[in-house]
Amino acid sequence: MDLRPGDKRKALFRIKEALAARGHDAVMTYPAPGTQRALWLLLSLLTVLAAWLAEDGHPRRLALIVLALAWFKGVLLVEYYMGLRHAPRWLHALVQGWLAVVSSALLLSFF
Amino acid sequence: MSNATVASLPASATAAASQVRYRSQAVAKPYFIAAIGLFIGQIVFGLIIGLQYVVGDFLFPVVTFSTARMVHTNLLIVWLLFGFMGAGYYLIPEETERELHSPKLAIITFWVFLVAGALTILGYLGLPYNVLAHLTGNDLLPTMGRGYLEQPLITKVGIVLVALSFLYNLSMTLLAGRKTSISIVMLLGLWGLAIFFLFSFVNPNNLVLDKYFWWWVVHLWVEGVWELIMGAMLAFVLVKVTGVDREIIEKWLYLIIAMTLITGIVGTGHHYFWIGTPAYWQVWGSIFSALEPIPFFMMTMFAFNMVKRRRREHPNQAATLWALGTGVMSFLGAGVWGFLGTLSVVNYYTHGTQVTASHGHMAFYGAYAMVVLTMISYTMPLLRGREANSPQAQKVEKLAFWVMTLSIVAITLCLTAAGATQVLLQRLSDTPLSFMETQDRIMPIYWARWVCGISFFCGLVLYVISFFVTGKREE
Amino acid sequence: MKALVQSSAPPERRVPGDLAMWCFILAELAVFGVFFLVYAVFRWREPALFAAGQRSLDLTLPTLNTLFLLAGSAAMLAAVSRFAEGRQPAGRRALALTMLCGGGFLALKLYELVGKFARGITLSTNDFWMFYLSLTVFHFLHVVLGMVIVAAVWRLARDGRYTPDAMDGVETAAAYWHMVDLVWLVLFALVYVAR
Repeated sequence: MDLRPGDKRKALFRIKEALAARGHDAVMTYPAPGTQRALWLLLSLLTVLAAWLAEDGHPRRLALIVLALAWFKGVLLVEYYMGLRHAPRWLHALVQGWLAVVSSALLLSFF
Repeated sequence: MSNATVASLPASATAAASQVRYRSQAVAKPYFIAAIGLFIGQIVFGLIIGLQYVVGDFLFPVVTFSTARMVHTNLLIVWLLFGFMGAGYYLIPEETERELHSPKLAIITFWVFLVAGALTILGYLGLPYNVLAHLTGNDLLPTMGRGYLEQPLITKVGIVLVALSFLYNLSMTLLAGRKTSISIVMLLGLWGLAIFFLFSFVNPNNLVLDKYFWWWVVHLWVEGVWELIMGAMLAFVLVKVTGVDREIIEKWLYLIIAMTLITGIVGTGHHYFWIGTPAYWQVWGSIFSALEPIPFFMMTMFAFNMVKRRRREHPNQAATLWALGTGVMSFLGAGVWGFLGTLSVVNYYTHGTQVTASHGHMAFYGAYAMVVLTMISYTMPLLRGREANSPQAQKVEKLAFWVMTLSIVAITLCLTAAGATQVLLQRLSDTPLSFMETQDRIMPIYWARWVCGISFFCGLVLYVISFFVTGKREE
Repeated sequence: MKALVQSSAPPERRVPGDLAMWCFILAELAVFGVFFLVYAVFRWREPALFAAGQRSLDLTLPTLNTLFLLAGSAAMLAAVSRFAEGRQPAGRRALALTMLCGGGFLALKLYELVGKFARGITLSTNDFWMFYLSLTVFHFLHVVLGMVIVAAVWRLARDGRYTPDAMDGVETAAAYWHMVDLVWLVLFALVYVAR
């Protein structure tokens, strides 16, 4: 059976990847289970907090508080859920940058 | 240049590299020749109407402006269709690694299309439009009288039949052969082209709906499925001339067409601002169409990146130049100039002015004319038995590229100035002038535009000459 | 030698999943971002209209929806970590949990939207409702696509192909899912809560 050049290259790449993987502890890239649970709890609590503020509290500048909270939650999601803190800097910057630009523009619109 | 590289290849490899791989690919040749012939016709009529702008009764009443404009736009579409068909007949056998399902059908279809097209143009020129309509069955199902879709009913039916024959031929070839991303995307685009053309038969009485569906042909063609065709053709040529790994090129292609569809489908809304559809189209159309330049930007990056990473010095440098030029000019014409008028808040002022025309000319040339010329540039030498034309011939071809391209840029700048004048004097001013008063002020710009049109035509003549320049062949 | 590498080398920077998916994600973020900004402009111009519209929005269901998506993301992260540890069945269970959460979101969102249509609210009612419907339906479609992608990966995982050194598929699906969640976090805050 003829191996097309693309297949051969793919096979080589797999072997390289597997060798590289042996040198790293893959689990290091993801947060420990305890951290994962804590993250989830924190994000959920912040969500409920924001909703409660809107329903009952209704403080001044509710919009600003809530949007800032969303920004913060987003940062956590990008860092840990998307795992971009371990990604190439350009990608990390682009996504956090998107969040920053959108959030600050929205915050500004409520001033 | 690349004499040394070619000379170092063994004789058998050189021989193989200078021929088409499958004999049936030869059917592409008549299609490409017809395309160039009709392109010449399109430009001749472009020069006629360009002159009629400034010398209003030029050729009146033998060839009126409305008729000549119809001929100009219809010829554009038809020559591009011939180009796409030639491209399909050439690249599908090569991608699927088998002969075309029926070369005979391809040749028969060619003549049917050419004759039908010629008769239609003669009909436009020789008969009053209403007489043509009456003679060709428009009373049965009215489909005439709309911009770019002026063809008689029987011509439209003919186009559908020609398209079906073409698609049948290519699809049967693909089904039995190797499936690649390039061939799949090409066929998807071509099927889309045919399916959306069916909307030219949809002609509601309600004027709003009429215009709504008209764009399902026009927008979903040039800002939709045609971009798939263009992407596939560009990818094909880049695979061949750069030798870059096919997987990389195909991945780029999928990304590009994903962006095309994401932005272009709802982006149709930028034609729904003022035709009587609900106001939310002004928001949706603006948002999505604002992002429509992205696929064109990606195509430019794609072309330059692949050429930069090339693994061989292909002797056909002209084809490489056309490929790179397609990226740049389509981004400028379709992307940038399109963006200029796409936001509803801007379009409110620019709608229907020469700003639109400036975008239209550069976009059509930059994207579709150039990708067809790229394909022809790459394939024609092979169809004539050599890997690339002689250095002398390529020099003329490259000169033609620059003359045509720079002429279009000049035309576009003229029309942009004309359009800006219209917007300022007729719409933005506190004391607006009438349409004709404004046109009077623009006349010098229209003269300049016409001169640039002459220059473009000279470039086209040079291009045709390049096919006949001989000179030392590379051994 | 493994210990040496573990203690000193930080994980090298790599793109989680397919780069092509990230290009797609960036494009989606661009579209949503522009949509949000245009919403902001319209709201800034008609604050009373938007405030009135928001007042008529129930907060309980959308909050639950946010919790669903966050749980889905948490499950997705768990799935990826488990696959990275070679724990295939556990990883698949986490993927199933993600889909459950997504399904919950879709069900609640559908209920909410049907309720609006039943009240006669359409895209043409006013600017606020136009944005509300456009944004939520557009996002809804993306959740559906996310579910499809996760379901595909869940199915493919049956043959144990997502070993620690062949994680691309799972990570790619996770990236898309997290994007959908990220967009919702902003949408929820902007449209439902910020008043």
